[in-house]
Amino acid sequence: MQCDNCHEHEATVHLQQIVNGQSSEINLCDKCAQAKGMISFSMDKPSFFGNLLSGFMEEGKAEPGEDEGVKVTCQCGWTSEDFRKSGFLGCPLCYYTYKKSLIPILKRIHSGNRHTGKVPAKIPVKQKVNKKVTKVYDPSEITKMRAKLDLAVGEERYEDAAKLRDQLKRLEKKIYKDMLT
Amino acid sequence: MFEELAKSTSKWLSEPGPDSEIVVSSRVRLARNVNGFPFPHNMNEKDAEELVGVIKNAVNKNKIFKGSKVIDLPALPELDRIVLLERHIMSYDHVINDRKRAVIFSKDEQTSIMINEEDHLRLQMILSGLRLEEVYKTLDKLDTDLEKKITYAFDIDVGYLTACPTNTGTGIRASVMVHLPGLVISKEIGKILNNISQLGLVTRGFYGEGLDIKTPFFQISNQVSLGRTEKVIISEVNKVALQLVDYEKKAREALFKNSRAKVEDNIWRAYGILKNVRSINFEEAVSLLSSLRLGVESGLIKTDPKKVNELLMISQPGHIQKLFSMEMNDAERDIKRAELIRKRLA
Repeated sequence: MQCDNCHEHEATVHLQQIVNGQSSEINLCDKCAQAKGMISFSMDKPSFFGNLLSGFMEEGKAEPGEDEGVKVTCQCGWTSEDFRKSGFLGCPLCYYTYKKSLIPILKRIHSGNRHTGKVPAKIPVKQKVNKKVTKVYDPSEITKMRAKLDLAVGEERYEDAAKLRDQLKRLEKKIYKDMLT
Repeated sequence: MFEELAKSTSKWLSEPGPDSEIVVSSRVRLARNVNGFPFPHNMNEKDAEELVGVIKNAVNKNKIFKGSKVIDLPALPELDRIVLLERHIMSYDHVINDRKRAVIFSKDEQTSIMINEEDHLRLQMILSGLRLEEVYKTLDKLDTDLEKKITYAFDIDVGYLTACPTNTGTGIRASVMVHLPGLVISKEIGKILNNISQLGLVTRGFYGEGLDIKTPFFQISNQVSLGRTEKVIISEVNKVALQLVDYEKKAREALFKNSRAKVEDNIWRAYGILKNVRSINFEEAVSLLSSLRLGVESGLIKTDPKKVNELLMISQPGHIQKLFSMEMNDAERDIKRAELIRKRLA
């Protein structure tokens, strides 16, 4: 078997990756494997995920405003085409620029599209790239409310939960409104 | 640089830890980005320079990195970068890309930060054995310290914003490196790895073609980083690791019970080759050292397990060249590797 990289030498290292039951294999010669760092045990290679992702993207929908072949560009210069081809975003703001096509992708590769983990002490206001942050939100209010909501649901206090959910929605809406101005 | 470093084995490999005869090491990494900057791959030189400065400022005073300094990578010779790769301090991408980038690691090498890799910051910690919760706890503290000085790119809905959507959310990747010779020899490994992937975890390993023994080192990590808490993600990987420890122990017991002569023969042969070999490539060395490790752990061969782990570390191509202080081609390296192994096992 030939090396997938140089196509010259006999492949001696065979790397197999299984994701969701789908197995893919890379065959490399000694030299290329060493050069590619496959000799190391940790193979946290973005390219695997990059490939996986562009698979998802091809099935994805066009960007908002892109219906008639119009290219969307984020203010960092990253275009919708760049995103689709590479699977990478150009800057944090791309998450808002390409939100419509990104959400279904996030849903497919993760378990849902809502972050439930750690929240940093400061949350940035949505802002222009390269302009330093001056205003930050104190997330404590929103985290407290989410915790209360979880508790209410856990204790089956559904009336309270419904109220909290509405409050939470209003607060989030307010934050988004502020972010966009 | 790193001459002394290359002579020693990383703590995550040399120190005993919980279940470390099967779970070699536990590793957690967090992907973080600084708000207001484009992601590294989309950055001009000026931005990169400024970003590295901002992060340097924040990490240099952290007490985890006491006595360490941020190392600018473009200035570091390639062989030194490869040594850091082989010690799992940094990734292959960080070795080769030509961006302005940097790395810092703690004196004990257990904690490190890659600056301007795929994301602005990749915080990482590795400990020997199965200790994912402990690893996360320490790393989380470092992360909390850093966020006092850096405003991370974060969105209230989707969490930490990362260059690649596969890391969005918690930005966490928790992994264990496991040594499963029993399951490989008994040919149960395929089924088990397949089952693990059904659970949404990723398994990686490498195989040597033309050898009866496949190198039985695998890495298992989470794939999902959004929609679950860090705690849940870690407990899922932890659960699978514990299950693997149990399966591997049973597989080893069964092997020694049912085909003792064959297994022992395999182990002694590996030992014999390693002690007499005159030229050996890294892949074969790993295969044979894996058998030796099994022999030592089952009490068959009386050698300090540390010695075997040490050989797994210093047999790597970068380490060999560093230890003999010269650049070598494959064939030269194979000879020096054999020399080193013979000497250490004599």
